[in-house]
Amino acid sequence: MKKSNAISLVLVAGLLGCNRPHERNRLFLRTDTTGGYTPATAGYHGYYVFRPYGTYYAGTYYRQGYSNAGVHSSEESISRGGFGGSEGFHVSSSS
Amino acid sequence: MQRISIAPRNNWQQTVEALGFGFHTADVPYWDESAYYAFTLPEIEKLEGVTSDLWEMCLQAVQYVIDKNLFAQFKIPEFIVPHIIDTWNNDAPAIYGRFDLCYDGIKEPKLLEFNADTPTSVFEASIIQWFWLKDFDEPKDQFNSLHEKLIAYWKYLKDYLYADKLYFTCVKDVLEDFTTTAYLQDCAMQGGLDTAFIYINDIGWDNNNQFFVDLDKQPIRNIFKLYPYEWMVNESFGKNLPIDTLKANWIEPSWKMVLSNKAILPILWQLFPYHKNLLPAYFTRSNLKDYVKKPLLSREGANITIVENENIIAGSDGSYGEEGFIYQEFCKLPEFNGNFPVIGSWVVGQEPAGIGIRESNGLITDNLSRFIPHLIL
Repeated sequence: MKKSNAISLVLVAGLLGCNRPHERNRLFLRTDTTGGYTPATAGYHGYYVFRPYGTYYAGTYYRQGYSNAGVHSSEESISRGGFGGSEGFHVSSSS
Repeated sequence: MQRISIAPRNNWQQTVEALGFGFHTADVPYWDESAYYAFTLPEIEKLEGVTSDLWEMCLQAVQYVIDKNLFAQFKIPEFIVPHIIDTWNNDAPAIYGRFDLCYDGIKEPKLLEFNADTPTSVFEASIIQWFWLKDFDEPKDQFNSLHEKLIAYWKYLKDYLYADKLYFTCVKDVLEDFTTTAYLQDCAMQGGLDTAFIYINDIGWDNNNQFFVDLDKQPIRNIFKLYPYEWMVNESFGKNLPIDTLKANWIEPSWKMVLSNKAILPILWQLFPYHKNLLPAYFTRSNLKDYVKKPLLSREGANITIVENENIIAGSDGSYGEEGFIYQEFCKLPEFNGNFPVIGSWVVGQEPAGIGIRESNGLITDNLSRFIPHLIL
């Protein structure tokens, strides 16, 4: 059913640990979303919760995004947090 | 269809973690390679054909719901209905879905439900079980073209998206959701799309210009979400979906709300009565003796009741059911030494693309279910 043996992961590899030394395979997730953010460190791999984060693909750096909802909190015309309020739920493997 | 017990690979945890699969074990194992399911090619072709048929039937069912204005039966809020109809009529981009099937390799597969909006376990089905097969029995095959089809379909969809970035979003602090979302973004990148990631609660709404924005205040025109519509429409930004001046492409599109709702099951039975791959299903108990009572909207097998000969033989707690229930004839999952598998059969674009199997210790496939790999004999 597979047409190719050449399965590659370019983004997941950078973010979640493919083909990297084990000590860098950890995924750092913030549980304290109200706390201040640590400055970006450690290059493209790992630490993706710190802003900005991203990965390299085909020699180009792709920024994945930012992780701090409060970055632009002073912008009066922008409201944030209007999605994601269904606390206690997540989209599970059974959904 | 057989279930065969085997010894897991040495250091399998490290092996799957190296692939980016960090949620293989929670309180109980989720990835379980102490067994696999083996199918014959005719069995796989059966699943493939049924999946294709069910997808066609579902598309007809959506048109029927729209034509007959049956949204009230789905308890879909009125304000989002025009958005649903717009996305349907405009053939808004969609990428995938997963049918859950009851199948024992002998009788006809039966549709249990369709996870059309936020189906997960795609990473495990596409990548983890494939690399398991490479290690376990390289020459064997698997019903699994998910990776290729996802990349190809993202590439195809490029022309149907706005010429702008495609964002990917999910909730914070949930590794499983983030991994699934990152995997789909990975496939889109390999399909040549310009992508970015933003957490769902970081999404902004520009009150002056009336459109969604990212953290740089840049407009969001295309966005894949691993976040269900039934939550979105009940949150404060939900009402912004129909008034978005940019008419952003949300993937999956909002017409998938019709298919991800259990109310589609009685509708399908009305449209295709006695179809060999459907179970009788109704909005009331009707004349069912052995049945499963399911909430219109639920996850992780919550708030399910199974009744056989007037006796409740299985049930689950949860916080769903407020919108109402449907009643579906009970189809007992096949049992393999106390293990009860459900076949998750994937559609990518318009085509069947592979299967993933989740197995439980009971008749309800819940959040303690395990993912078991498979191969074709």
